[in-house]
Amino acid sequence: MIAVPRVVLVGHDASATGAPLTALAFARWAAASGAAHVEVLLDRGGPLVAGFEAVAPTHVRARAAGEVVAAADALGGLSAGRWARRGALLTARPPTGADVTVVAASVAAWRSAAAVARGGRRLVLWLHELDGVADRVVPASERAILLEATSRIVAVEARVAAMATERWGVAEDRVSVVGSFVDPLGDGAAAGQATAHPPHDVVGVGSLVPRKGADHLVALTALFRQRGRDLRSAWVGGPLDGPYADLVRTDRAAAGLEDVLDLVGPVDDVGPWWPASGVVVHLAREDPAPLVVIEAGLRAIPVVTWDTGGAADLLRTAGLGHLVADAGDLVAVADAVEALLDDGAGRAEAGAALRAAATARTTDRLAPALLQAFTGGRG
Amino acid sequence: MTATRPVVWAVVRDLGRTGVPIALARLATWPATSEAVDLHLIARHDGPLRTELERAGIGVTALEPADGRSRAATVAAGASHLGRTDAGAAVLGAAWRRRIRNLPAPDTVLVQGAGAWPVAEALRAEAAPRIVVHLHELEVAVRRSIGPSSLPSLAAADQVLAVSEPVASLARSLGVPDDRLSIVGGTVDLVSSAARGRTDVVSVGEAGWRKGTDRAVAAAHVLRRREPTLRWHWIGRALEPGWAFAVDAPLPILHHAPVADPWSVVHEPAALVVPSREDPLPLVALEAAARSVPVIACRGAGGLDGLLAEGRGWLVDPTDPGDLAATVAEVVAARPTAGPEALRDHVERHHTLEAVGPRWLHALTGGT
Repeated sequence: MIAVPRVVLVGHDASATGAPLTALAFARWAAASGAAHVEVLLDRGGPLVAGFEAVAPTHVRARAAGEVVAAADALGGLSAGRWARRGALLTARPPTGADVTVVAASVAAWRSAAAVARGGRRLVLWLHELDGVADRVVPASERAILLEATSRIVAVEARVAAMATERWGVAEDRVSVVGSFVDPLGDGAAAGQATAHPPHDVVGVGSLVPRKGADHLVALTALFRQRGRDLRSAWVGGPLDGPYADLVRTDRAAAGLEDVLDLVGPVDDVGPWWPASGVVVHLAREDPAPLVVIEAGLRAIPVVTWDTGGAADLLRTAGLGHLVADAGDLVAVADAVEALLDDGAGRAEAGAALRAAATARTTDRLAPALLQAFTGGRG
Repeated sequence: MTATRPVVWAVVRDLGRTGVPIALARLATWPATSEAVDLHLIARHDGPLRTELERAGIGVTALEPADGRSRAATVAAGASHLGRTDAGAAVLGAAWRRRIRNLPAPDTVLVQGAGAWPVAEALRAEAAPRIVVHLHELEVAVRRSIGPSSLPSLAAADQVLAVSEPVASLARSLGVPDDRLSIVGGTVDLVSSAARGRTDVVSVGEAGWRKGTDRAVAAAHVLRRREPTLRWHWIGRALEPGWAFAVDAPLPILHHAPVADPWSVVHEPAALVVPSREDPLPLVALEAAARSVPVIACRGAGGLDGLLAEGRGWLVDPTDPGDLAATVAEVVAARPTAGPEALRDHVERHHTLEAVGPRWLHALTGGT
């Protein structure tokens, strides 16, 4: 009889953002396939909690304990945060047994996962971040301690792995790459089925935070207006009440674009906002594993991006390097978008190429390799 | 006569080498100031300007270190995370007031920039001094620093000084009456005209949204295609976390850390480029003018529209990186002299210490 591996996924929260969404897709696959027994420990809750609970035993740290840990972390004291975290974990009923693989499902969950793995359990860092986020969440001094306790790093993109080996100094044989993935499209969500309201020519999707670069969409739309082309654009994602949203709105007002650029805010389903006959732009300042590009690709919607993360790598894999501009090169992005908008056949061709590449990035194709990387073959 | 000098507390957010603290330091170290007022400078955060101020004989109290936090600030941050923001602020304010308890009671409190407003509120001088606010910010920065509940207090200040007409216009819209509002701009020392090269342009300031670093990057890409030998330098603090591009992303701009004299970084700059979104009156533009270096700016950012009007500089469409790049290329190639000299004359008339200082001191002393 072959033992089913036990995996404890430790997540920083259950928000509908990249790392938690991928963790949920993995947990769902593990439950459906029976390939692994997965338990989930979350530092904080969020809209995906119900999804996790439906497929795996899920524990969310008590709110008060989470606040104490957050305050301890905010004070910047490594030992304070560590002790607070150990105490807080008692409230989350960590699993027992030495045979489990503990997976930090993001850098933000690394400290908590290390606390769970104490006592000789295998600790794996599932690395979704690049330098800007990773360095901010776990400073270098603390990272060295956590790396000592970590058996393996599984990176979601090659350039994330390069960060670990080249800038963190982790030996190459301790790092592997399994690409980020999304669930395959359900019925009715195929290419050209989107029903955006109103139809937008250019759409950006992601949290409304500086790193995702919604301000670049405003600048792009303004540049098109300056060129005499009034296209409609939209940014799908929130929050709309944060300080960055204020800056984006300020830019939009300064350029007089309120009538053509929609700030949609957070949505449960991006589906209606995909531009059926338009282009998705991905203008993040740093984004290692852009699930949104895979999602667009599965719908055969072309994406224009610049070279700041996994989106560029995916487009190049698809043979679409001409849709990758240098970082910050707004004019080159505008030229690429304009060419696609003006050429229906070229747009369809690019969409088809991206769909071919994105099809290889679905849960059913990559989750088995991910499980293998997590457990190192341990049953 | 020294005993009769009014006591002035000048409150500033930090002592870094950025516009607002530097503007204060220039006026504070002007010899006429020490004759007119007994000035005590209080900064929330320490910084490199402290040494220069103390060398000039000005008492400086830094409430917090330049980096990191005092114990009281740590407690306040922890309390804030636990949802006890008011309690944390009370602890912090009490600690700060203890730090300044030996200072003489102020006749006037000068709030240097909107960023100093929360500090001045926390210090709460008890003798009801005159409040003078020197605004160096436009809408986004003002609203970020001064909450809606404090805006009426700002409007009720005894005197509001604005560094440029757009700032004065903002102050009016916030309820400041004209009889308590005046324009007191930045100052600069005139220096010899700098030699001008053909290969390097500079931008100076804290990289970010307000200073328009993204506009510079976009234009620099266009410029690199058009003039590959031309280099664009950015001198100032790097982008904040979240705003920086991925570390392995090649950018067409050379970044330099902030230094005491940004004009020492690039030899013979061909032009200063100011791509800001909000810049009420950047001192670096005055410094460029003082050196007869051409100034190119994005239209609509604030005081530069007036400063560079009538052919004194170049204003471009902020939405068009190509326009900015083309203007930079043309100015570098043409090496114009009329515009920069006109700007230098303008600055000599309106932005020397002798031109600005008396109005500033008049505001601090209430005309006494």
